[in-house]
Amino acid sequence: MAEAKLIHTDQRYLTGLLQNDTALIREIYDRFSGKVKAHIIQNSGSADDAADIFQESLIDIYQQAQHKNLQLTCPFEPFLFLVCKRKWLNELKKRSRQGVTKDPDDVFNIGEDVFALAEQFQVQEDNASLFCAMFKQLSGRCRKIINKCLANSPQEEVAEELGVSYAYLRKKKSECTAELIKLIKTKQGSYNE
Amino acid sequence: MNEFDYDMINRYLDGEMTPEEKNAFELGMQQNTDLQNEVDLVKDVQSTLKIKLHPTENELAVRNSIAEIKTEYFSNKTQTAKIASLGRNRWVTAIAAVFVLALVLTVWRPWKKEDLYQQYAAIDMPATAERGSTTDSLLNLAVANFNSKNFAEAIPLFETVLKDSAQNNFVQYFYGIALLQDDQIEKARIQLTGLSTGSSIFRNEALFYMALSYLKEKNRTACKDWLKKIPLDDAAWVKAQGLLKKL
Repeated sequence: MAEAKLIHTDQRYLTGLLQNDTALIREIYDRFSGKVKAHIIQNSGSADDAADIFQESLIDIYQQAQHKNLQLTCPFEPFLFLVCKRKWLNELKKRSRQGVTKDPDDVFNIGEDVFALAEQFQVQEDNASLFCAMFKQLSGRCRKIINKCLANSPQEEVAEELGVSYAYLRKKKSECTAELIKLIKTKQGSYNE
Repeated sequence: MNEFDYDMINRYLDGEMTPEEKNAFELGMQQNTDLQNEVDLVKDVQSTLKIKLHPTENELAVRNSIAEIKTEYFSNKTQTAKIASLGRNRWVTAIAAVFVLALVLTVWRPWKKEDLYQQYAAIDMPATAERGSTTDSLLNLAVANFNSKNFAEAIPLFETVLKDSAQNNFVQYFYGIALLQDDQIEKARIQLTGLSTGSSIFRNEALFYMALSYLKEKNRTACKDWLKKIPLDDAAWVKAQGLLKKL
């Protein structure tokens, strides 16, 4: 982000999530889960769907706050709502139902800042699902090598664990990385055509 | 498409280059934006996969908290936001009822003077399963056995339930107590220690039962030590103080 934006006071929700502050997580459920649940139930979902979408959205937000420096530059509630709504739309598409949902225009007055942050959030989420989907297309051997290399143990230990030499591991790792990047670029290329 | 040296990129990102190699590589990136972009992409892909494949301890703890709180707000029987808050109250009431019941039982048990352990360890498990899945039928059966003090039969049922929902602190808690009642003290302690160090609402109750596990072995000193760990602002504290006075 080129320009520094003011952090919203609702950043406390992200901080609480990061610190596993159960009182605050409870507050999030208390204050915000009702509207998300109502929205999903109105749009061909069940209470269980709503529970899953709400939970997964919180985890996505946690992950981006933890690893991708996500900071709230807008109020939390409409942001969380947009994230949940988008996730539910994707789920509906996956289930190949009609991906048209009733828009809850009256629920919030959603500002530009919220859309901007939700958009930025979504780019990261879309990338993550693309990377994961392409990772799944790799051979089992490549998946295993990349997976092990991403764990925190030293690469020498990974080589030993896999029963190969360190040099061989490096060679395979670079081949697998090349293969993964190629898959990702091909897929990205197909989006852009 | 792949004209880059991925071994070099990996070694750079893994911090495995010598200082000279690193300088040369960084100079190369400054002069070649394609290389720079490629390194950024590989870095992004690796960090993203790492997040998804290897969740941190903290993330697992957060997931655990969310899974626990979720059940209070979402269930098949609650259909609107309004009822959702009722659902939570009902849950809280159920748990409060357990503790009050336990307290009442411990105060008026006729064999009060004979065995402090028995007096304080008695507890009934409330039935909370509603959904009627296989797991829930098993849980109901486990509850019935637990409440009839057939702990040896309840234990394998709890274990099966926990295979499906390992994060369920409610089940973990009563499983721990069942193990203790069944004299599997070491196993019970492992189970209860897990709960007592986490952020679950059963944390302090688990501390209380850890104390009881030592009382059962007539180790009053260790029992007292555990009781003293229970914080002042908790319902379990009242019980703990009552027991401490009698020790």
